Amino acid sequence: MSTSAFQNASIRFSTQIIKRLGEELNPSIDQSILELVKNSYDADATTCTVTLSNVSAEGGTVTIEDDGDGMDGSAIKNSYLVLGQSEKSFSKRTRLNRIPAGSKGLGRLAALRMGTAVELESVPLKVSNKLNKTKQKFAIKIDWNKFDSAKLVDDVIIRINSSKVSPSKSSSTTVSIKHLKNKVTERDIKKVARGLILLADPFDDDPDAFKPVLKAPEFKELEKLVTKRYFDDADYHLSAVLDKDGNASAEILDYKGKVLFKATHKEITVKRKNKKYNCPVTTFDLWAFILNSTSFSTRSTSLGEVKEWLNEFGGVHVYENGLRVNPYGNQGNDWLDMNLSRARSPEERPSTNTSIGVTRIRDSKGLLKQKTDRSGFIEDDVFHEIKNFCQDALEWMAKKRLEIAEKKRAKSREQTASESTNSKEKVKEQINKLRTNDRVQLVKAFESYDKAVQSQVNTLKAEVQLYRTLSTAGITAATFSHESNGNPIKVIKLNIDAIERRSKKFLVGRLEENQLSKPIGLIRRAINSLAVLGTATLKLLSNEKRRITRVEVHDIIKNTLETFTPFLNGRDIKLRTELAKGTPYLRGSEAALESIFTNLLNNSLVAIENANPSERAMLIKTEIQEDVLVLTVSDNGTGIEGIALKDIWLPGQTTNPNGTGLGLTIVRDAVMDLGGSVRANRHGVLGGADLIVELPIIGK
Amino acid sequence: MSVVLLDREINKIHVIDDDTDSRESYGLTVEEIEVETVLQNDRVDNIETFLLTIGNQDAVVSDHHLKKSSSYFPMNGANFISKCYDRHIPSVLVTKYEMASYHEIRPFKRNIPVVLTPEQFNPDTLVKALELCVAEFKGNLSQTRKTWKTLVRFDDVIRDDAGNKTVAMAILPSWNRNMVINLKMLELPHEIQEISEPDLRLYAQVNIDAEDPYELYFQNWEIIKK
Repeated sequence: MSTSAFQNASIRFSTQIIKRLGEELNPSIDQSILELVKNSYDADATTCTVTLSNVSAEGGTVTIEDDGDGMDGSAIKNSYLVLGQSEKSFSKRTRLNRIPAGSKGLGRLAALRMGTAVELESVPLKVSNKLNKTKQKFAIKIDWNKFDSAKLVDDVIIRINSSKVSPSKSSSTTVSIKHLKNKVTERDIKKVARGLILLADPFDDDPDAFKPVLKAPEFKELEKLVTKRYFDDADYHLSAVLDKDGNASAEILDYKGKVLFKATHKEITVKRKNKKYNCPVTTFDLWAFILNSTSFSTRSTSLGEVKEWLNEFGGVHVYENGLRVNPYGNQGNDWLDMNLSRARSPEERPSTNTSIGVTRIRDSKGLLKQKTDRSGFIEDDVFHEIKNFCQDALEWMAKKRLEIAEKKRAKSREQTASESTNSKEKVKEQINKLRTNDRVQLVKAFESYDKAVQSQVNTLKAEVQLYRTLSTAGITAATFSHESNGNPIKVIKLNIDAIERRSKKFLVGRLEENQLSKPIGLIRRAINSLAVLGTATLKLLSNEKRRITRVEVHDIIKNTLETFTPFLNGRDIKLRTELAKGTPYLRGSEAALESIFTNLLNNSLVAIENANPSERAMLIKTEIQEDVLVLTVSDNGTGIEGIALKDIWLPGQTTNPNGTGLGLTIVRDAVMDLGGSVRANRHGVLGGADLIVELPIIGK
Repeated sequence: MSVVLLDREINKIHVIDDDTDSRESYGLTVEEIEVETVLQNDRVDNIETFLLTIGNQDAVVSDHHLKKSSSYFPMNGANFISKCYDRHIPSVLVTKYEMASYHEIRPFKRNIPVVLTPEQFNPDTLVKALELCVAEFKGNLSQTRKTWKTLVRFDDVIRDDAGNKTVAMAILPSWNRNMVINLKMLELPHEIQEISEPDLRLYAQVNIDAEDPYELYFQNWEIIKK
């Protein structure tokens, strides 16, 4: 069978493609305008003016004028109007040695589709005729309505007109997008202004840099703010550099620009074991501010203006080859997880609200790829390496700042001790000046006073040491709880479930059911107990609970009892609760109330265990007496014997050989912090002790 | 080997967890519904590329915390499951709802129909959870997932030592006037963060038929003009 050519064909595109590509890729007005401004940058423009006319309603116009190299008819035809292909290449440089910023031309399409028509006029740098040196202006008009009514993209003809202009006419390009489909809100204008100001690294202070301008009052206000540059008010300036071989170095400077610390690659890369970074040359500068009125009291700038500046421009901005990459450093963008690190370990770490930073990447080989919708870089290995470099530098800075804080604390401790010795000497000197009789009396009195103070200091030292030991035990318990409560318990649970299901499915008739169900049940109970232990420890440690806020007392009691239920059940303790009607609340921290209640419960548990009654009982009762909540914890334990009632609240006083003697001291201190009081009955309603806490409440 | 959920056939389930033993344990449960189990043992660098490897007849089970080995996965499980939902890939998040991770999950909760705890995770709950996803892809949201315009009042706004706002303590009178929902500032849109102050009243779309505070999610915040 022979074949013969019937007809040639090619793949053609429906006009719907234009609509979809343009509108789905880049819908926001600020990003659309920035795409066109980047075209001006690529054309080596030094000025570029964006004008918004009648945009408060639909149908307005956006005009972008630049003094770049312009385009002739052929460039308009073969480059500007061709989508998906870019003349821009990372190996090429522009006349001003800029690395082109634009890419496939798709962003431009989205921008041009903001209205229903586009007018472009361009005067190229090159003369049209070298002999008579005439110059021409080229112009096109695009009517998008024609595309909407045509079937195929090729069906719409765009005419390129040319006209003569004076040879002295400078090169330029003006793009007007007319009959905007949407109105532009004040918020949009602010976003456009911010985008334009930040586009070409205003932090670099280069007078010849590309500085696009928006004709709008919002722009002037923001421009004023950005040029204020409060970098000198930063308490620390981190300056980190990554060279072409992937080696990092960094230094921390103080507000005077004096170097405080320097780091080599080895010190910065402790975590990655000295491994080199595999990414383009990058610098990372971060200015960290201590925003409190004390640190600003001696400065000429006010805390308020620095806060306003940071609020507008704070965060770490990224510049690739001199142009900003959205959205890094936008309000709410925390690409280096600075706020997370600060939340985990707040001391001496900056947040996006207390710092401003710039990451400048010189990517001459185009290793980094921006996402087509311009929402940042594709998060590949190269991007992660840059992120790692910045985060490692931040980590090093945090470590160094912590060292400074530690030194300050040590110095303050030394200073206090030496101040105390000096004061003592001064008192002795004064005493020696007195007459003999008075002197002897006073020396005696002072010596006795000094002894009492020393004894108090020693008690406090012992108490602090005890708290430290307990803190260490707490931290260790929390670490183990966290680890065991996570994966190991999860794995045991999932697998015991699988064993049970599979045994039911595959061992039917081969085993008596209880041969497996009993051991499975026992393992489950043991896991639950383990999980409760872990959860109880972790619940106490949540840092959210240490915030001062409105705390509902009954909620804390109920939640703590829920955690304690397995312990109480395991000890056969019958618990009765009689909570007052209403929801009494106070201003304090959940942690404080939990400390009070948990320690009272622990105290009762020990007392009951020591007395070992045949029926073990505990009663938790609350009463509201006007603005005071009275909480009573009663038990049928040993009661209070062999110790003065007031002494049970003192540290180190315990009848339990393994106890710390701190539980009730913590209760007393926490209650006093909340403005309340404590008391006790030796033998109360259930036969054992009643421990009574009175707390002022602000609502019921 | 496949399972049909409503009218959607699933023949492969991807399991993502940065802990090898946990991953394998989830895998053992998945095996029991007789679909192919794919344990994600290799590190994932690029989410977009990874999502391309998940087919039309695949589903996903993922843990929330994926950072034990920092290079295993580039985002947390909630964020990832949300991306799967956008692409109509049925997926289930498995995690213990701890206070610390609650605020990380809530911003993505619109796209996470079911969160299972490891205790709840078994072949039956897994199939039911995946079915719920498929139902939502067809536009059938359960009553507890539908949102309504709701008044939200900030009872208090907490600040850190540097004076930065960190948490808004929100009360939703039409849901439970006695319960405070702690919303981290990072969960809120920037314009709401800026004006956050005690006693601020706002509107938001919230699924107020949800019983559990962990199930709540907030969308379309609106400032009430005075």
